[in-house]
Amino acid sequence: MAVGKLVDFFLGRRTCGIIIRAGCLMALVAAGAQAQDSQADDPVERDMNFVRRVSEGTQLYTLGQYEQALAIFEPLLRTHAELDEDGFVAMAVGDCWMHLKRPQQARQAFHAALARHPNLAEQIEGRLIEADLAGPIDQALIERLRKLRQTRGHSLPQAGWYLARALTQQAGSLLQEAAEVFREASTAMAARGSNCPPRSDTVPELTALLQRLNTVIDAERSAGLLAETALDEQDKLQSRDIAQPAVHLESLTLVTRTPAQRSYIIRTGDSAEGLVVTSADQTLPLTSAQQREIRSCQEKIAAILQEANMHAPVP
Amino acid sequence: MQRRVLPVGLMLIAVAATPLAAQTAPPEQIEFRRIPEPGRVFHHRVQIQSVGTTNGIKFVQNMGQWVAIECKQTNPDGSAVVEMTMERLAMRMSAPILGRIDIDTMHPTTKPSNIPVMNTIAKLLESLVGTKITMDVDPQGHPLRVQGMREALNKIQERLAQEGPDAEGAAMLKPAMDALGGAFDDDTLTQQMSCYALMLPKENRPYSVGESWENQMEAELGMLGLHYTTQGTYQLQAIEPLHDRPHAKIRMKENFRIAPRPADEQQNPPAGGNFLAALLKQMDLQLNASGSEGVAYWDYQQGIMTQMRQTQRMTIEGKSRKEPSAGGTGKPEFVQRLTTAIEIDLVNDATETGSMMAPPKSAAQRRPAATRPQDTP
Repeated sequence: MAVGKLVDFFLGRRTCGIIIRAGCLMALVAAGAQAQDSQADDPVERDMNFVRRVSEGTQLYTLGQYEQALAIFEPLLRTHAELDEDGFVAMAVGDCWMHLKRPQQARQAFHAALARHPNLAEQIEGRLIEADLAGPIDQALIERLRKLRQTRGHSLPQAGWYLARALTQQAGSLLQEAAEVFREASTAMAARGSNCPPRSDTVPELTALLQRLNTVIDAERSAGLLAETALDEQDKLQSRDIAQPAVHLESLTLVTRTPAQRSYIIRTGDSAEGLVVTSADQTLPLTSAQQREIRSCQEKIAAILQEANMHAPVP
Repeated sequence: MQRRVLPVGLMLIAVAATPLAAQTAPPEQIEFRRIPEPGRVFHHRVQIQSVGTTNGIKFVQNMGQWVAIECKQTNPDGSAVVEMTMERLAMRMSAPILGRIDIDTMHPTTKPSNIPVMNTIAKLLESLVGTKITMDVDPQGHPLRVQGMREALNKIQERLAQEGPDAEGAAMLKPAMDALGGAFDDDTLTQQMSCYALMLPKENRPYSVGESWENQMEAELGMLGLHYTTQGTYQLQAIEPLHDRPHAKIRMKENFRIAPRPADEQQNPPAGGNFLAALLKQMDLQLNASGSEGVAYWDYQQGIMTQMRQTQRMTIEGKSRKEPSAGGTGKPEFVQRLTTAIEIDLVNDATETGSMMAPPKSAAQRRPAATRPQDTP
């Protein structure tokens, strides 16, 4: 009552009521905001939140969800760069772009990472080369990689690997162009009744060669610095039954005449064994590359036999 | 009368909400109780989230353990016997190439991992639930003697024997478990547990807000030929309420290092028949963590830690000891860089899982939102 009279005396009742209520509301809001600010500003809590977010982003990255991972890493790098002491987030941004097949953005991210973390120069150099190898291969890149191998091959053994991959990819592009040009020339020359047209087998052989080369290129790219197959992809590979090809070898006997007559029996084992080759009752060990070669041949044989069957006279 | 009472009442509520007025004035000085009263059981949940790279491959790993702590008795000189019981263990990890690991002893699954050996390890971890470690502590709460490590390792080896030689990864696990048994014992655990007592000041006297102290510790992992050092600076930053109880808020900054002992200082060289020690003889293994910062809330009246948050940045490097002429490169062959967040909380029981150890999302939940059917509420 005394308070009320005092207040009435100085300010008038209505004005007093408005001021007091506004003051109460402001005090409540300020108290809540102060509590939140103190927690958010606490360096330990800020660092804990940083680790949680990096973990979230990395979890998504390991599952192959690179866009979602990027949506966490990029803003985190803008707001918490000083906490990314080892450059993990900076590199992860570039790695996400690489997995998303955006080498230009990846290069920008890796250059930014290098500016912040010069101690990561060696790793980033490898990443930048991978970004270059992900795009079209030109002669300038090949010369640069040749020079790298020449000047630093002793301390950077992978320099030779980068050069070999670039040369292989360039060979693939040239082979592709050669097959297309052979095909066009063959058609044009046949239309003009040329007496010496290109061999009819040339284009299929070049195409088969290109397929094998592309297999090598893809395998080397997968073995590259970003050798991180997403877990979902691994799950698919593990859970998928090894699909039987459209045709498979039951058995095949090959007889060689030189240097000494020897026969080989090739058969398809169970999925764990793969192909089994025996000679003189002995099982020959096959590497996985050799198995792949034999399977590739069996598919070609099947394609040839099926085509021949189509032209065989009806009994 | 009513119209006057209302604004005055609101004003009083607002004043009560401001932080300064909300707390009863904290004491100017406190004395740390370091050991809880006998007979009462406290439950700690420890969650450790690590993210980083191993030789450049990214991974994320969450580990959890739930421990019940009870002071069994206190002695006239202030020393005590504390018993810790393992209630639950959990591990979640995902990394390309390595795959997924999802182990939780409270929610076991038939196939917690696509890595065969981890399925067996999951069963071994289940055998640890219920293991008791007994610790004699001095009046400052520092461990004097720990018992129970040997029994815990025996449990693991017995469980592995039960699984039989055909268990997944058994051929790899048996020598590894034998090596662990040879490398770690109760003395090793005593030294390791000592580091947890570093947070509190050594002297038993009143402390004021703002006071700081330093603690350091050195220990030997004798059978492995490794030397462990840790050094920390701690400050009583405030007296704050937490869960309606007054707590000492302690700010921590720590460094620690594990490195091989210099050969000429080794009085007990690594045991020759120990597989781990033999491996370490060929490799220089170093672990460095610096600038690790944290905040702990210590219930100085009950003598128990209620909450701790700490981050660490750590590098582990393994380098072959071979000379370059023998094929050694001189460069680290194994490099792991980790950023780790540690959360310790007092919980009601082991069923409180915490956000770090929440079960991973299902494949449907992991799909991008645009392609995902509406989540079931």
